[in-house]
Amino acid sequence: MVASHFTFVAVAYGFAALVFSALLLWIALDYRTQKKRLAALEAQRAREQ
Amino acid sequence: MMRAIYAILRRDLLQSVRAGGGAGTGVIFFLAVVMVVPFAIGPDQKLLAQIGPAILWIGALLASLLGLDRIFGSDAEDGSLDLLLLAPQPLEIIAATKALAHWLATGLPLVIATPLLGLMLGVEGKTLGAAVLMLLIGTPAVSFLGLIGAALAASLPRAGLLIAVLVVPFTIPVLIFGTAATGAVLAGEPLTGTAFKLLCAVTLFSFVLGPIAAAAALRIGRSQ
Amino acid sequence: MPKSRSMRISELANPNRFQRLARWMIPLFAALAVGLLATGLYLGFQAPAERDQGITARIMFVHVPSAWLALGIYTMMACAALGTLVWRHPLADVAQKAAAPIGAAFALVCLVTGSVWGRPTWGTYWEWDGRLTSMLVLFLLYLGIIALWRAFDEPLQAAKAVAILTLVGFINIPIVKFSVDWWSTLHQPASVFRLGGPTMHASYLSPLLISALGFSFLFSAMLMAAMRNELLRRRVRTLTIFAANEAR
Repeated sequence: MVASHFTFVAVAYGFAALVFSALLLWIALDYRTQKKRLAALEAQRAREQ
Repeated sequence: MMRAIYAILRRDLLQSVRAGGGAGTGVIFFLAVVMVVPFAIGPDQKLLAQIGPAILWIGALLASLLGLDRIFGSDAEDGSLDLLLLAPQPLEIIAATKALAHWLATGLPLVIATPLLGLMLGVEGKTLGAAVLMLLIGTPAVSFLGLIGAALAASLPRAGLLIAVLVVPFTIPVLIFGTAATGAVLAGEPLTGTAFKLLCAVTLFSFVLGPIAAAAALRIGRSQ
Repeated sequence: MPKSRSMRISELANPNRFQRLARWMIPLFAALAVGLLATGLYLGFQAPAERDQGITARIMFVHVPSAWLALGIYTMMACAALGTLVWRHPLADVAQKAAAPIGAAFALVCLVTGSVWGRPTWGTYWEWDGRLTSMLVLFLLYLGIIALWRAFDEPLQAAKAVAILTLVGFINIPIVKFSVDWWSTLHQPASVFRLGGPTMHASYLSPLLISALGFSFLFSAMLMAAMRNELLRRRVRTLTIFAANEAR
């Protein structure tokens, strides 16, 4: 075989871990961004009231 | 109702033939693709003759896809889309007519250009005939399936590439069966085999699915 | 298969209620996911090495659940699409939008892990056989859906267009499922979801099902988190437009 079977298994699981980590990271960062923006906007609204 | 259909056909075809309408551009793009591939692959005549049908299909598919935003594009811009939605004729028939206009302006010229371009690729005789026939059957399917994408993006400006992206997954069966049917003739099998029958089935199915889904998309898009 | 969203749907309809629900459901589902995945993978790697494939068969514990979830998530999106078009449920389109990137991720993982598994097993990274091609088409559909979401300014307008696209594309799901039965070229036929019951050995089947359940909880947690983000994003958008109007 071109590479040991272990390499294939590692690559497969490694790629999956990469994709899911990226997805989780994006969700977490998006949450923080939206929360920040919302807080800023609501503070602005409160000031104008 | 036939008068309405004829009126829409005439309007769309005239629009496409005018400057900026895109009727000839599809064929030119088709020619460009067919010319570019041999440069990329090299002058191996045997190889080109073998993949020739596939190149013809790819060129025809891409040329058809890129013109899809013209189906509803100008109508959305000048407000005629709202008028069409209010028309007494069924929206499905109107949508089907527009798909027919798209095929007449874009798809049919591609089919007519195929013999010449096929010869450039070394596709000859029975295979070339098969390619023309399969493209004749398959290009309407691309127009009618593309109708759905065009309707979904009708309210979006310059959505040509987006529509192509949306429609490509649906045209893959057309491509698979079309090239398989053409390839069958190249391999010496009969013309009307399984792939041919499936291609016809897909095209007929697209005549039904396309207008229905497109009409639903148009109605829903405008009901805001 | 993924958990259904049908529990107390009418109560979930209120977005604030959703936020409160999400606050404890997300950590719970995440914990369940981690526990089940750890268990499933541990058991899976304990199972006796397969006759022909050696240890590469272990890839199935991530490849097969990803395939199931890629199909299941699309089905969920199709149901949500009906929810948007037919019942006009307020959270339906939020669920649709949030699910799309997650489904695309599972489809991608399925394709790549399958390709990596295929190299030592079948000798090739890719072939245009029925199941691989239709799974690739599914991935393209996901990408098209994501592209269509982003093409509109107004999310509610996008929701309706995407709903139709999703429903039209649903025809691909049975094709993926039955492609291995219709065209026997490369991919092996069904060994779990078949009429006669699973043909897989228990030592592989149990870890597989446990992992699948774990991935389902992972999806559910990510879905709720992404839905929460989308609801926040819409509120931000509304307030921004409001503020812009006030400034005039």
